[in-house]
Amino acid sequence: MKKIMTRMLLLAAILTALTGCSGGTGEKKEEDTSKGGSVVVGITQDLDSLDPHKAVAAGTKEVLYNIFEGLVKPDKDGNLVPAVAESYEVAPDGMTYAFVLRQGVVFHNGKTVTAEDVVYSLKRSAGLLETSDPEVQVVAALSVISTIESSENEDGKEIVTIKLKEPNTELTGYLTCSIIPCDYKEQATKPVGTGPFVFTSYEPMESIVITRNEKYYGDKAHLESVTFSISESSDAAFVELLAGNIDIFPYLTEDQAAQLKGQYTIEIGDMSLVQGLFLNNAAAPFDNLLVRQAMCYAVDRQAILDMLSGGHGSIIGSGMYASFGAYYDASLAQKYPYDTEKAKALLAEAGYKDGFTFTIQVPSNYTYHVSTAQVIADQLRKVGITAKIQQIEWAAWLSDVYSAHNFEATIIGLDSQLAPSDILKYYIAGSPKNFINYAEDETFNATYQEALKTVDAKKKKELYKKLQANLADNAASVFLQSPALLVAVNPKLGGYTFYPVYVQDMASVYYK
Amino acid sequence: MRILKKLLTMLGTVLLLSFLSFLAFQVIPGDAAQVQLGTNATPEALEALREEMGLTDSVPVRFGRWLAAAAQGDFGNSTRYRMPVTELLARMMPNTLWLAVISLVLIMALALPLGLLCARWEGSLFDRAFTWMNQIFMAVPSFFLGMLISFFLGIGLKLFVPGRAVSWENDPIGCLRYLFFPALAIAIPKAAMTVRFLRNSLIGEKRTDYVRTARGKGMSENRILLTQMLPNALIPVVTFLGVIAAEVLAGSIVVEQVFGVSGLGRLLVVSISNRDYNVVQAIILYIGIAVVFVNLLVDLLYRKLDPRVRDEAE
Repeated sequence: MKKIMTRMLLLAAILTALTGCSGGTGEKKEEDTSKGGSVVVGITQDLDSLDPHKAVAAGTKEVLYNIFEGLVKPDKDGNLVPAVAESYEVAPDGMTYAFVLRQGVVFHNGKTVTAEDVVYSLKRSAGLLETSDPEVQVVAALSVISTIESSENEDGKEIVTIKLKEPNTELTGYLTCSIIPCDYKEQATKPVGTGPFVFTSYEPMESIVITRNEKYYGDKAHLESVTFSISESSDAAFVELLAGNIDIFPYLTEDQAAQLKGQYTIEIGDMSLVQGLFLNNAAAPFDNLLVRQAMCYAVDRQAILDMLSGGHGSIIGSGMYASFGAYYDASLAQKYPYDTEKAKALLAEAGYKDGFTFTIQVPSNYTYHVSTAQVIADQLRKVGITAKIQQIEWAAWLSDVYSAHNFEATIIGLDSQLAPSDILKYYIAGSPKNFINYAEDETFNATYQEALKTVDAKKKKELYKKLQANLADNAASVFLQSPALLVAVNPKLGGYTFYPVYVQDMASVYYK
Repeated sequence: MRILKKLLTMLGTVLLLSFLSFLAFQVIPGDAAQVQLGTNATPEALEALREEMGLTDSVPVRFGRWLAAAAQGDFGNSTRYRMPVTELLARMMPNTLWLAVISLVLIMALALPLGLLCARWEGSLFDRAFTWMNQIFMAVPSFFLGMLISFFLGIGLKLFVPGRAVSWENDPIGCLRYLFFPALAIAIPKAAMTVRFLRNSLIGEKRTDYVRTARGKGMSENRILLTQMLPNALIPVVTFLGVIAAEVLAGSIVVEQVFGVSGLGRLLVVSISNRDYNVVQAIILYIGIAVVFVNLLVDLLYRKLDPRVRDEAE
């Protein structure tokens, strides 16, 4: 009898515990998302344009992501999901793309999205409009487009058909390009898109405010409004974090994250960048393969992660990072393990027995890259190489390093669209984007073109792995890591989501 | 006549300054088109944008064009913010001007009584302690003081929220309250210098004959200090304050950054890195005019205060 009683009590206890649990979370979850409210997100770069086709800085795109959408958009797993388009079909030969437009998608100014708007937006980004605005960033990858036409299917839905000059199976990755109204002239001051948030106001050097799009076709945002507050530097933003007037801040250093623990939740994601010590393959001594390989052996990537990101981040060994999933070759990360003896031997073989001196030019506004340069300079000293660090302005980096190729080495992070061809475009011989003058191997260009055209998925993966191996074998540069992204989030907030591209999605964030 | 000559010199100075800052951009690498197009730039796109921005013409042509427009009050558009420069400046101007006014008031309010006290009790414990402290305050750079103020008064005592500058249009009172703290960071080192200047100037007067005479006639020390010595001692101090006023009016570039005040100083730094020529030219012009104008004012005030200068001139 007593036994039964105890058992029943136990059962009752377990039952209440269970129901208590599930009831609690269930209720909480329902409450969660409907609270609305507003948040302040700290950013450290002023927006370079409010027109999505003119914006170039990653810091601008991460904000505009909330206002604009393309035919497709990336989800958190790196897939492309339909947005303004409802569905799409790629012809097996990779020559034709057909997008069925979603019905009833409305721009923030009340106008319904039509095929005309889509055609206009794509043509504008591809540089195919008759009168072009030189400020518009022409997406080079869209230059394979020969015609864009609209039609209607039997259900009365609008279809946009893109025909290409040559087969390309990766175009969808670039069709995240924003859809904007075709007859709207104030895009640069009062931007209008189709995204989950509506542009409200912008004050230069101060803030940009967006509010919930009540007419959004998909899941509406939880927050009523979001203010992106522009801080002068990440140090200034840190002071604001301490004072508690920023809710979300995405670019913490390891030290700052440690100090904020307790006051903020620290979320750790991935920047989705190829950070590297990029070497000018046309300038001595880096025109020598042995020297470049020696450099790869002489850099201790794990130590960089440990020192700068508390061990977070993912080491890479070629020009791609893990977000590319099946295309990414993870084995290359171990191609050049840290080995000072090997580095010294290679240097001796190359005729630099006593090392050499070179200069790393690094843009001073990216403190993370500057810190990386300091760690690397220290490591290289152990094999007899002296690296001088020269901090330069971003404008000077663009003109001297990136355009004029007038440098020995630089540290930068390369970002990409969700297409494997995009992140590897920096190594095509003869391309203006090939700032490191990579031309060690003629097979790279041919393989790249072949990969673009290949329809067979398995073959395509192989080709991309071949390209990555090519870069690693020829030690195109010292590929370092895709750095960790340390984000401070107000503990009252939930739903902060990382994406394999550089964006701050505010639609998923809610007050708990 | 003298004033006219002075005004002409001023105009020449400002013109030369504008030309030099225009020239400086030719020496440093990078241009507005390059910054705008970033890493996506193709040589053709760059050329097209340069053409549209008018960057392809020679330096004298561009300077001439800028000057002709500026003379008519047209300062062009900001390439980065895509709005007229005058509109952009009008937004930033109140912050910088009020910051300057509050800083100057604080400098006077701190320096005058302290300078007088130190001079009155020269060599006392107060004077010696203060002179010693003064050395420290003079040596501390404004930006560091700004960080200390942010940390202790802002985060510690929660007197204000660092970095959250209040805009003048939305809330004038809140804006002034916020600006008090950056103004303090600007004022303290400058006030320390002024105290020292005033104290030494006053002490110099102490040994003069007219003070001995006044003392002999039985005037109280305090009265001598305020009515006899101060007006004389202030003459060199006015020059010094003039220099400081010009400096503060020119926008406290560093302090504006520390406190996140969107003023002209911060705009200047941002515009230089964006190669936003029109904005930089307009701010440089403003700074030039402010400095030259304050100098003229000091010159006039000087004559008012010191009859000797007036007589000489006439």
